[in-house]
Amino acid sequence: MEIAMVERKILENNEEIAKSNRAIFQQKNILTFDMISSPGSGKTTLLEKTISMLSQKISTGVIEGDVQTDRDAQRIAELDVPVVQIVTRGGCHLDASLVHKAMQNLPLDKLQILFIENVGNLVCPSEFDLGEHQKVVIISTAEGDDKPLKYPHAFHVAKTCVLTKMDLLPYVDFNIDQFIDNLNKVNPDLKRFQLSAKTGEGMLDWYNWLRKQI
Amino acid sequence: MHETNIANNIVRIVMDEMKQYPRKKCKKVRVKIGELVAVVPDLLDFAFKTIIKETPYQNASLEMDIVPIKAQCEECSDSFNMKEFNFSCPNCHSIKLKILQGKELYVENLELE
Repeated sequence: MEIAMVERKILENNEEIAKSNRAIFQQKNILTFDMISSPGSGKTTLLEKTISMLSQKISTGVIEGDVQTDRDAQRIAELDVPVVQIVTRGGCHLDASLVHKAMQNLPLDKLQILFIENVGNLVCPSEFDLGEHQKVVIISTAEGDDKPLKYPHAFHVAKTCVLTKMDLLPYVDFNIDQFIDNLNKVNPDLKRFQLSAKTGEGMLDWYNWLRKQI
Repeated sequence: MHETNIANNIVRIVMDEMKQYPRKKCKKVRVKIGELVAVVPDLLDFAFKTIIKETPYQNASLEMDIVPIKAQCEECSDSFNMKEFNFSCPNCHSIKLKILQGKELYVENLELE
């Protein structure tokens, strides 16, 4: 029996391209966020409201990842910011090469913030480095407060967590204290926001924080 | 289902490495997978079998070495195997931890014949 030593990272290709994306973002001074969540957490609505608040002062771009349709890109395009849609046709996550291709169609020299809205899925996107500055995990009060325990990897790789749909809190069984306990169990260092993109509650904190990151 | 992507990349590495051994057959592919990497072993095995079938190494099997999450407490220096992603020290309950292992995702070696 002969053993051939390999010791190669399985996602080495993705890591290489992510590294090159990161170098481009750094060189062009673009702050990049990879937004990950389950389907229906309100990512696109959060982005719409965030971009409306930022657009006066900060030049923003968006890469939209979806399994099918360009509906989300159309929503973002109405705000008059550069947006590129990636349709994965069944693929459950974005990878660094898809983002690299999409970057070719964005005015990178003009951007200060780039939001990458990943495919709605809390498992696969957490495994792929896109070259982003940080991953932001989004969860809504309409989901379970045990999500951090059920999808620990997503909450572990993220640096920031945004709890959306706070306006629904009186009508759902989401227990905020339990949620915070669960977050602390999987990632005590997570920066947290609680907001409602619909009513505007909590949006200013999020906006101010984003501005400070630039 | 990122297992398909991972399986594709494992097979790509096998094809690449086997160029060095043109007269050999690949019998086994050993991979290390940390528990912090959300991989479902059965799904990865299924994807690997499906993809490797289309290559000259169709008889190669996949052996997964699952690496448990090990952490060290930054307060009391206790090191421990983490259970159920509970990121707190079982000794002093501090949440300041350093992950020592559990993030692995690589092809370790190939068994040839």
